[in-house]
Amino acid sequence: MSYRMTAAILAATLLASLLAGCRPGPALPHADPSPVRGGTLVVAVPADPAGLDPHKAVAAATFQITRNLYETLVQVDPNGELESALALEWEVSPDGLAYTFYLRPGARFHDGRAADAAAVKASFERLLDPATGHPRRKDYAVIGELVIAGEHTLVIRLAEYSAAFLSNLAMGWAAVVPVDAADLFNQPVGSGPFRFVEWRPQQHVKLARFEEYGVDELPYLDEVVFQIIPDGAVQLRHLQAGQVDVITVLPPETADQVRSTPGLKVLSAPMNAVQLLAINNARPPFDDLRVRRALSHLVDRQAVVDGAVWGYGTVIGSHMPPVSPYYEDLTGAYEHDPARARQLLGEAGYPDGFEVTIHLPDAYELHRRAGEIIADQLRAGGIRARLEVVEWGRWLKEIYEQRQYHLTVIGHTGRLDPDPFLNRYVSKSRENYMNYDNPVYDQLIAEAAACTDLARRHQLYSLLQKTLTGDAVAVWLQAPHHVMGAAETVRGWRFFPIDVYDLSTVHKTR
Amino acid sequence: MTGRLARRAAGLAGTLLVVGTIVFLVFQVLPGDPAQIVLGTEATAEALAQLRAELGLDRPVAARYLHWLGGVARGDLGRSLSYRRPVVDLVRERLPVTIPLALLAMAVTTAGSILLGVTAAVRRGQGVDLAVLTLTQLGLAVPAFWLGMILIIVFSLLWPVLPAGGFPGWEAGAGRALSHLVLPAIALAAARVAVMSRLVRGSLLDVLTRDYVRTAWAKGLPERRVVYGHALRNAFIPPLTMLGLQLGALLAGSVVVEQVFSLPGVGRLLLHAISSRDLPLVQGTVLLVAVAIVTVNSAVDLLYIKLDPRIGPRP
Repeated sequence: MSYRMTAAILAATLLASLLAGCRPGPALPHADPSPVRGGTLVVAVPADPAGLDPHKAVAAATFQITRNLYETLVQVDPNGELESALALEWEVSPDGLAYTFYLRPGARFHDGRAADAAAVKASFERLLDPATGHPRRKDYAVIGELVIAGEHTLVIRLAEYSAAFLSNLAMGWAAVVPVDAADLFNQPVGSGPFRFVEWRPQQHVKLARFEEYGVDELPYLDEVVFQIIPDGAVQLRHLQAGQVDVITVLPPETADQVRSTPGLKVLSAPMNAVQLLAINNARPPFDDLRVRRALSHLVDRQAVVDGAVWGYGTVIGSHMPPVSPYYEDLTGAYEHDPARARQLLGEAGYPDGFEVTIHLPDAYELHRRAGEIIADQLRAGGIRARLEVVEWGRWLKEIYEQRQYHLTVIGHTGRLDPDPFLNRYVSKSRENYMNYDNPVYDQLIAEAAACTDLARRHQLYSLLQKTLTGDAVAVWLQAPHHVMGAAETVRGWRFFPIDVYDLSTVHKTR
Repeated sequence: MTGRLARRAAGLAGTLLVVGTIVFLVFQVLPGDPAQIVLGTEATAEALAQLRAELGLDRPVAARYLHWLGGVARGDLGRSLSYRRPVVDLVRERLPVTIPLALLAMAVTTAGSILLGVTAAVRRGQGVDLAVLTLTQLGLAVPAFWLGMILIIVFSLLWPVLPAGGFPGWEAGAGRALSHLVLPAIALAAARVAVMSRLVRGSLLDVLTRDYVRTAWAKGLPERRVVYGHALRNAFIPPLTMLGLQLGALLAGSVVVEQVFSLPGVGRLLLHAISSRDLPLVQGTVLLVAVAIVTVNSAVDLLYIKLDPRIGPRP
């Protein structure tokens, strides 16, 4: 859906006669017709941000907070459409290589300096400077030239066409920062609706209303406190005791309890993420397609959703969540069919199954629970799975980087564009920890990324998903849902297809 | 006295060197990379290399170790890799939580174990004695995190008199800050009380059979004076040794308890530091804990002399 906007722009580009510009200002859906102003909102989050410099982070814990401190040029709305942020309007040249952004006049950083074209240019130069160490710099490497075309007008020229460029600008790590700020990591300065007050590690991050934000008289709240509480059960106690207003980790098994508690409610929405049983395709016996397909037939994904997250998830059939506009429904590809699985295993030379270890990352209860259920399901095919819970740092090193595993359960967060999401299956990709090697896939994804024809692009991404499913590269389990708890008094909370919390529209009734 | 202190200081320095080296070596064999943990599954090879260089992880192990050692000698514990702030600042911010928590837990331990231990010893073999023995057995068996959860459910939810966790800071007022430490201190002290009260009981029973105690009884002194005035002072020497050693267990326990009550203390900092492979922060925290334990044990040694002058150096 985020692509509707990109789609509109590209369609216009291709018609070569229209300019897809002059987007309307932010249309903010208010859950309440007369929102109350003022007050403090306390939001429980499980971990510290990985710093508050958006150009040096990839962690959701950072962007959940920085979305409120900084602005991107454009931003994504709950439906995945791009809307104005620091840029009120934008235009794309007919060849799709020049983007002109008209910035909000009067936009200021929290330290009073103007967030104008010169500041935005400097910010992108910082992002692109290798010395900054921006982890996703390559996503912006297409930027050829940054031209100041007026105090509030910036033109970004691309070196080559990129379908994903505009949506990449909506990612939190493309936020505009004042480049001469001393220490954005610990003392962030942005132009967003809230200004930074303090960060006490493992305690809280405090933000206060930025009086000069100048967008629709937002935000409503005077103060936001992100309280760091690692454990979901402990977060729940705090919510019940009235010490916090929103908890972002609600153990799904307690959702019914929260819903039936007067004064509390459950907030939930499908996530732009996938959970999968990852398979090391290079290791026997999983180098045999029949064995991988047998796994797909053995896993009852609905049972995983019901057992691991109490139904707060949607079954998937490939590496794409249903919230993506590129989603292809492949859930019917491998029915839960242990008899068929045993037949396939027999053909592959494992009539009595085999023994295998499933590695589960200790930091994620969701994956641990899914792994336990899957281990039980695999038994129907004679596969005796041993579970090994590994500490997160070790998982990243040994499983993800060194690929020393057979099976593991993990999740991946989606992007606005499907390319960075599906790119990890490219045979030479460093992120290809499943050791998938299919030259056809490599060729198709390269074609898709460079494709300017939207219909063709859709077709290609659909084909890529089908290829993955056909090769049973992994057993894709579910797109989990956000499950949060909140006080009844909290209004206007919105979920986005990227993992951010936008508190500018949130308010409390009392 | 000066010689004693010098010996202590040398011992402390040696202990710290050993502790620091062990931690450093453990981290060399522990799988995991701080840069990778920061970047997670989004890392490109280039970004990883860049971050490693920025954090100084691209230098050889020996060079990093010597650099760290040199820093410590100058009183500089280095910078945290995950918070990118001086380690000293991060640890110092935690002391106003962990020190009061440890002191409070010590106080609960001392008061609780004297009360239970003396009561059980004086009423030896009676119902009260049996009840104390059962209770302490239970206290030993119950893990701190579970007790913490139960305390929260009872005293924060069912009968809301104390906060469920978190810490408002001392600037919110001593009363409010203390109220956040009461339940954690109890959870932390429970197992210690169990150990210590058994020790007090045993030690007191032993002392109560001594001649000088019999003399005190014979003089017709009231029970309170005999037990608390005469017997307990001597009976308290073995438990005191134990109390000093308990500090280590207390600090270890605070890692768990601070997690349950989401208290921003040294224990939770250490846990974060380990899981993010933040070696300078782990080193700094562990050194501090080692200093605390060695210092307290030295203080306990000095207390012996106060309790029993015969232990002290000959004039």
